[in-house]
Amino acid sequence: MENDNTTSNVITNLITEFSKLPGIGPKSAQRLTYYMVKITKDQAFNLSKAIAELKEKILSCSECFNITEQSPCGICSSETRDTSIICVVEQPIDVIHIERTGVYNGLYHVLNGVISPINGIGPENLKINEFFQRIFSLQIKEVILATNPSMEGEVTSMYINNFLSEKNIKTSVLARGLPIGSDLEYTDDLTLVKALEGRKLLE
Amino acid sequence: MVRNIQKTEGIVIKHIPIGEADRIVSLISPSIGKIRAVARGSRKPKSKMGGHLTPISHVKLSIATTKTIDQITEVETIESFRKIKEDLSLLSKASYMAELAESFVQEENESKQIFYLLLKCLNLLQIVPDTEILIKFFELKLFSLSGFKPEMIICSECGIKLTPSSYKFNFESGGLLCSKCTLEIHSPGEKLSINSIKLIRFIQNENFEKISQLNSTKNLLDEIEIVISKYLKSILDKELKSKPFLDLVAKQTKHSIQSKKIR
Repeated sequence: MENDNTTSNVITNLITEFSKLPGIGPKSAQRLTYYMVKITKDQAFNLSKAIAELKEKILSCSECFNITEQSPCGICSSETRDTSIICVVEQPIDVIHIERTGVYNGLYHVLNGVISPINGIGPENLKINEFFQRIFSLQIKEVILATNPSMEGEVTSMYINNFLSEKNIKTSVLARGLPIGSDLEYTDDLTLVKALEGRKLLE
Repeated sequence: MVRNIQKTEGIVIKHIPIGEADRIVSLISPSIGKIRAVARGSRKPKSKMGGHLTPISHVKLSIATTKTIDQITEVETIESFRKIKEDLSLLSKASYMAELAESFVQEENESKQIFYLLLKCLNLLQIVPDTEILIKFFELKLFSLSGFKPEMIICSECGIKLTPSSYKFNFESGGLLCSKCTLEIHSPGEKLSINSIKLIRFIQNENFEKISQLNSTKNLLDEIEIVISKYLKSILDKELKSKPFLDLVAKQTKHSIQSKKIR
């Protein structure tokens, strides 16, 4: 945006910074900036402090590559966790979602992305080699592949599975099928096939 | 707002996430060439479109033209290529073919032939045992359809008819060089044996049913592979992003076959 003497430089700078954020276009950036003009000094200071703190304190866990304030993270250093089972996820946010279910008590490994041949992202761009080294040092018995059921997620799972199948480690993937509350009529064939294959006997 | 809705079919090439729950999807269609359109809400679990827009899927879709980016309003799978998606090696090949086809298709340009070539090859990929020769078939046919057919009959510099022998393939002129021109040109290119030249000509002129009946072409295919990948680089002026993964998977497959044999 050009400064035409009617807008102050300070405003333009903040709009530019906001519009760099994901999902925020120039209009939303303007709206946020003008909202910031109205908030109290304390509110503004708290926000900037929170962002600064985030950059100072948050680091990547040296074991699982989840984001954490201390390395190794709480999960990796916990004594109550089952260290014979490990769940592989794409992003740190996936750990939060699985933890929220409360049904899993093993370890995690965050890949920080997925293999995407068409976008030029190969295994060397992710934490896959670190994962392979880790399962041997931890003597893992079961690996749960919890990548997204997208093509890229499946490629990543197959790639890891190809490696693990030679090493006699039990490997599983999350069930694929119909999401709760969805509509069978609009479901694609592949999902329906997976749902039929993975059907469960009612008890 | 009155919007113009187009109905077409397409092959999904890739998609990128955008905003909270949307995707921008790239497709190749027979009637309007390359399509880039947004699929609103397609990343939500309950989306009616999400599952249908997986890369390497043949779909039927409706697209609404808007002032900015086109929008996908409806989509339904025709063929999901399930076998490809469950095999890492096939998937790496399919991704390579899809990216390659996309590089040769323009937006708003009819590209029936390239579309049907890709569709045919994806279908074949699921059933043929020798997928290496299928890739070469796809590449060479694609070159022919887009005006880059390698010249294998006459010298690509002076036009003299070539007698059966081995020749150098020149990437700039896009064809073989006669022995005289090879001496005159500063960097003449890569050497092709007489049998490789014959194989390229055969693939250029025949349908896949005949080509798949050929035996023991492995060494020739390796030789052709070097020439094609260099020629491709000189046409596109870039490396295809899916190529390193294709090579990596091919290497690993070869390795695991060998180790199984040893056991």
